[in-house]
Amino acid sequence: MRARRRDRAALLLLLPSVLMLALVFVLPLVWFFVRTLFIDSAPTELPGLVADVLTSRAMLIAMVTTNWISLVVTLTALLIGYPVAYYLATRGRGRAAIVVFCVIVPYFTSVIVRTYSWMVILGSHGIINQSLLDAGLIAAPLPLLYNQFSITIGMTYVLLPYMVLTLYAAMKAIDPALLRAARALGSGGFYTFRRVYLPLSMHGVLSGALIVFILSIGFFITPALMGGPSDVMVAMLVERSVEIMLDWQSAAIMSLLLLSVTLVLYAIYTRVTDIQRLIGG
Amino acid sequence: MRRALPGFVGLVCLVLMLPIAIVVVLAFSGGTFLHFPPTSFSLRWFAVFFGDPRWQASLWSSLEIASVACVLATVAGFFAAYAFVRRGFAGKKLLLSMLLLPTIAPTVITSIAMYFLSARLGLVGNLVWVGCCHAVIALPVVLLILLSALQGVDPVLERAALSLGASRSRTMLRVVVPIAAPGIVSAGLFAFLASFDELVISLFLTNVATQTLPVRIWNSLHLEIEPTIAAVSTFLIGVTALILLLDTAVRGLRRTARS
Amino acid sequence: MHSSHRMISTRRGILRAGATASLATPYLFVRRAAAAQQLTVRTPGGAYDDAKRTTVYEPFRAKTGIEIVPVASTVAKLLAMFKAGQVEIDCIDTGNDALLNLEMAGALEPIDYKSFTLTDPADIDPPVKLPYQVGSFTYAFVMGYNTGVFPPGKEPKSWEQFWDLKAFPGARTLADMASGAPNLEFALIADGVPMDKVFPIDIPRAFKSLSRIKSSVPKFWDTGALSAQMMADKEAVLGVLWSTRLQVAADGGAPLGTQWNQNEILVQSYGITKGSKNVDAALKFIDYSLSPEVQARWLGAYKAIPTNVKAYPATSPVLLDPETKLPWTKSKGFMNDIQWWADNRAKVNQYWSNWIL
Repeated sequence: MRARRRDRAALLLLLPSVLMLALVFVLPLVWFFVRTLFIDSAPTELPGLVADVLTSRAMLIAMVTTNWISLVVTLTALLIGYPVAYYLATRGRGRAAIVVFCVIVPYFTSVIVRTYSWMVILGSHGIINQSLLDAGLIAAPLPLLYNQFSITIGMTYVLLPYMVLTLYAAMKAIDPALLRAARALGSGGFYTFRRVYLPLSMHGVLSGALIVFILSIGFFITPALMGGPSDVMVAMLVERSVEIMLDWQSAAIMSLLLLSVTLVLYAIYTRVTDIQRLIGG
Repeated sequence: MRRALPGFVGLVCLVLMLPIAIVVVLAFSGGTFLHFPPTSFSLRWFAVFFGDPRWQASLWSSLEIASVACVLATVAGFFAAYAFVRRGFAGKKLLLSMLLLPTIAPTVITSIAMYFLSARLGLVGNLVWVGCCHAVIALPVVLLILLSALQGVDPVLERAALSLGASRSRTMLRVVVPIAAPGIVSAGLFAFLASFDELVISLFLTNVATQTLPVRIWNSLHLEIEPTIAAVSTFLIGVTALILLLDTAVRGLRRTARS
Repeated sequence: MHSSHRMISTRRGILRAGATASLATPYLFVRRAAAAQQLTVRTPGGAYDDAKRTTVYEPFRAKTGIEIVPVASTVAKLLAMFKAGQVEIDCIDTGNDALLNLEMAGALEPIDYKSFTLTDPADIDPPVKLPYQVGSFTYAFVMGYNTGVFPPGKEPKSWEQFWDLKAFPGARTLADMASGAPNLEFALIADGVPMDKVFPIDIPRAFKSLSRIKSSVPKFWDTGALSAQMMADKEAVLGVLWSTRLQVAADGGAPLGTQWNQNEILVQSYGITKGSKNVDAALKFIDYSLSPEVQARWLGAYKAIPTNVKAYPATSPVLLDPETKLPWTKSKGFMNDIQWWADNRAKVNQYWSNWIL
């Protein structure tokens, strides 16, 4: 009796999300795929189109680039975000407010202007290069823009707030008494961190990393503006197909491919990490 | 390590603020072209922003839509996260993967798909509906943040409250929410900002009367990066700074009042 | 949440008038009252509308009582509207290539030239007068150069010279596939193909030619904004840009000059959406926009080349070839073949995707 009531409660709690997802997202998307792939085009064309996309060298490289950059961005955001979140969680209100301000304010600028600012900083006549040239430290401008380096910086800049605030929320919930107890029992600073603090914050790490990664996958404005000609992400190819080529069939197939690959990566992620820490048993 | 931390955080804040500083400077540039450093200074772009009713109409549209998206996503996400964290049921990993799809799917495809549905239902240009669509896109991130936040709530505390006679809803409100508050605020904030900053879905689902700020920016920016955008951003930054300042001041006052 | 922001609908450049014009009507209550009162037009938006408002939209309303409602929309959205059967936009003001795409998708009404009262269809430049679209002004792909690096007179005078990395060193920028079409035509001309033999384009040869300068191109631009910004910021000292875009940048103070030799003519056109309930109003609007006085007034200020030959005398002097007194496009340009591009864009896209990596 108890078990069934539990399930009903779970179902009720999940209902709003699942309903929203089904009606506003899944339904229209499925209809779009069906319409684009089967109704608007001849079914006989489909295998050919799919083969074209799957064997396209550009698509393959774009997939690799997308996942690689997303991975680098996630790790960078984690390495930078963890200490910042820790600072936020353990320091007083006043300082925290300033850091929070610094972290969320980038959001109120349109992404175009933010990206342009980075071009001002990284450009061949931008702030960094101009200062280094004037100081005589370099002879010619460094190629800081229009490559994977600038994409990584641009994307990490946009995604860092997600990492920081997610980790902060997780760390805030850690009972300082536990840390005090560990220290009282004699364990040193780093040991306490590794064996007590880190595991307790792990669900934040898992959550933050997942957020940043899946958000990175869908990026295309920052890579388009800050990347070099050969830095092509899958989302850029999809957008080009939709807007320039008006080839919605290929766009649909590419999207399905991207979805599948990402879900496979997700499956690996949940297998490799202790995802139970995040989603419970 | 301990001593290096404030230095590191300070450096990060500096790097975070540098592009913002540039944006603010550009907002005051006099030329029609974005050039840094500006050759002349003027307030004209603020005049353009405040003087044009369309800019303000778009700002209001964005705020309304973002509020709807924030509330829907946070409430739905909270309940779903609670179900994950406190309840046991089969297929959690699978369900989570489904719930993450809106973020993984390319936005332009989702937009077209949503447009077809909206056109059929006659909801194109409906602010609440757009908010709903934004909520679905924001839901995955909200869910992930709240999952982590709720994991930090000790179930022992909940059980204790229940055993002492508190009802489920009271426990939720008085025990769970306060502890998970930082996470709930983060999630809500992100849902709001995600919707506020969202362009593609808005482009497809709004019409001329309900155009959002990003759409208006895209519209005006299409051919050049006009400093008006910098002025709009600076205005919003100013508002945020003001809110945070007030919040800190109010807390400070409350503390002194209590002492 | 970060979303995709860059949507390319057309590659059209505009001149910024710098005015803070606001619409006369209360925007918050736009509802299609009487269909004859309002005409919804998809335009490039922003400053393009600002410039056109005083010279075209307002006078049109004063004359006919029909109010123009400019709207932003990408080509994909136009197509989606058409597929969903929801025609919200009556008239489309965009590049002739985008209109051709829509025409091939069956989304346009034919233009009834016989209904024109203000414009004599015979006065319209023949290459832009088509069954489903009609050009309102022309401009071109031109060579832009930084006057600080190449004083006027010392800049490359042909695409062959542009391709000469030794004689004219420096970073260059050209159009990316994502802008709609890369500059294959110029690659061929640089390789020795005469202007009138460029189409049909020998794709492999064009890409081979592009490879010669690829190392000097830090970035191919996908929007007009980026092209101008790169030149203004000196990320590139030579580039292929839309003439209108380049003009705006130069007028705005950037040290840039225009080389019109061997320019490729581009057309901004009007089309009418199929299923529109305001076809008559749309035709009136198009008729009005193409009439000589309106073209003279509008394009004299906007600095683009009229399509009504009667308006040529009013063309801005900066657009005229001092030798021939004709617009640069007529004296030194060649026409972009949009049909070839429509038929071959997918193929070029494939080539490009492989070449760029």
